[in-house]
Amino acid sequence: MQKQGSDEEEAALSLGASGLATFVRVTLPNFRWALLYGVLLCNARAMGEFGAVSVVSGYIRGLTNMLPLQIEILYNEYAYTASFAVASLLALLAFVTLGLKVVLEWRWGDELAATRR
Amino acid sequence: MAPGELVALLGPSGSGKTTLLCLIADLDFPTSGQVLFGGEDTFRRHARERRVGFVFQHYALFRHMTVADNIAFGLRVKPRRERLPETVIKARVSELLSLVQLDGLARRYPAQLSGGQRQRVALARALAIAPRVLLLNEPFGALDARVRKELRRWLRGLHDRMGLTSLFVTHDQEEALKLADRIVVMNRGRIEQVGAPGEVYEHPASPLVCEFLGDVNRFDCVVAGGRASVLDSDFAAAVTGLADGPAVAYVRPHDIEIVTQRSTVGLPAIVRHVADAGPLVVVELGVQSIERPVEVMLARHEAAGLAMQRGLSVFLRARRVQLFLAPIH
Repeated sequence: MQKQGSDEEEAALSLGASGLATFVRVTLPNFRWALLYGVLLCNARAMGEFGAVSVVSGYIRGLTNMLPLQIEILYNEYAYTASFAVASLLALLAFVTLGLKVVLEWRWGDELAATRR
Repeated sequence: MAPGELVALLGPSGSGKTTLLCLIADLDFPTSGQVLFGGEDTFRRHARERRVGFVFQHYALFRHMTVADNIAFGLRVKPRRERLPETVIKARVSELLSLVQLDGLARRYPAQLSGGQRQRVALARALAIAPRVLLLNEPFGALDARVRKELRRWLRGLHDRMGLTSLFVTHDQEEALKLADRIVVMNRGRIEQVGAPGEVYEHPASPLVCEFLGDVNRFDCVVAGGRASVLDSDFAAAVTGLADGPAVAYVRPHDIEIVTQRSTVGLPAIVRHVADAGPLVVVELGVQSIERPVEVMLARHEAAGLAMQRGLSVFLRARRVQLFLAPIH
């Protein structure tokens, strides 16, 4: 957004668009792919977090739990089948994220690069 | 500004011209002072209500929209009550495309257009909202010389035909002189002079205006007894009301006469360089008492008549000068 500058937004305002209209019609379309890309990367990161989260979250079952932590809990309780199942699920989700990222780059890579002026 | 005028804001970089333009367009806010439209203060009004069209230096077209959508933008973001039906909007867009001579390019994206075409789309987009005033910020700055000339002429024609009121910013004095009805010369945030191009060129109000508009030769001189001698020619300083003392004289290159024989007045000079620049011939001369070369412009036939060439000894006379107080250093 910084690289794209605010010229287009100024043009929209000078043509009489309200702040919201400017955001929805001009700003958002200009960085939608970069936004999606960022969300995807963030998601991948969130799925993989373990150590820091386990300390900060308090590790309370049923309340502040997440998949990586759950796998550890199951494993420590000797529920190997369950833990492997959840681990496979997590790995599958990681692949899906990776796949989406590749599709995004392949399909809209030019736009992503072009919107970076 | 009067309705129907085409005014140029001219000045060196940093003089405040773009800031002034942005203040009028409500893209920037004044710390004091008012902008009055038809006598009304528009400070509290939204940009939409001012109905000011703005054309940016680098077009600022919406890159993800087609040309047609770009032009229709101003009409589509109007509040529901004021919004025209889609068919009317489409017709309007067609009209404007014809006006800017870009028919058939409605479905293109800005990235697929040339600089000149993009600027015309930007203009059509600004005109779509039927603005009261059209503001242009160095509209042709990013284009090459030939396209610039064509668009300049075309803009003037459009302005006259549509009866627009326009204000454009430029640092190109030639553009201002050729295009505008009135020129506002600015420097360091202040207005130095306002007037018609001829007026500002012939009677500059200050040394800066003189130096900025067109080429000029500068000579140091002294005013004594109400008169000053420049290039061995005598001029009355009483006209400009200058007191006796050191002064600065500005002489336009075409206000210097070259003669081969000294009659009553004439400063000896030697021709250093002759530049054949199309319709005009620019002659550079060296004068003994003056450090910088003196520049004189002659029409082709005059230069031919004098047989201008390097090394020739001639005499110089000034026809007209602008006298100002010498700056205090």
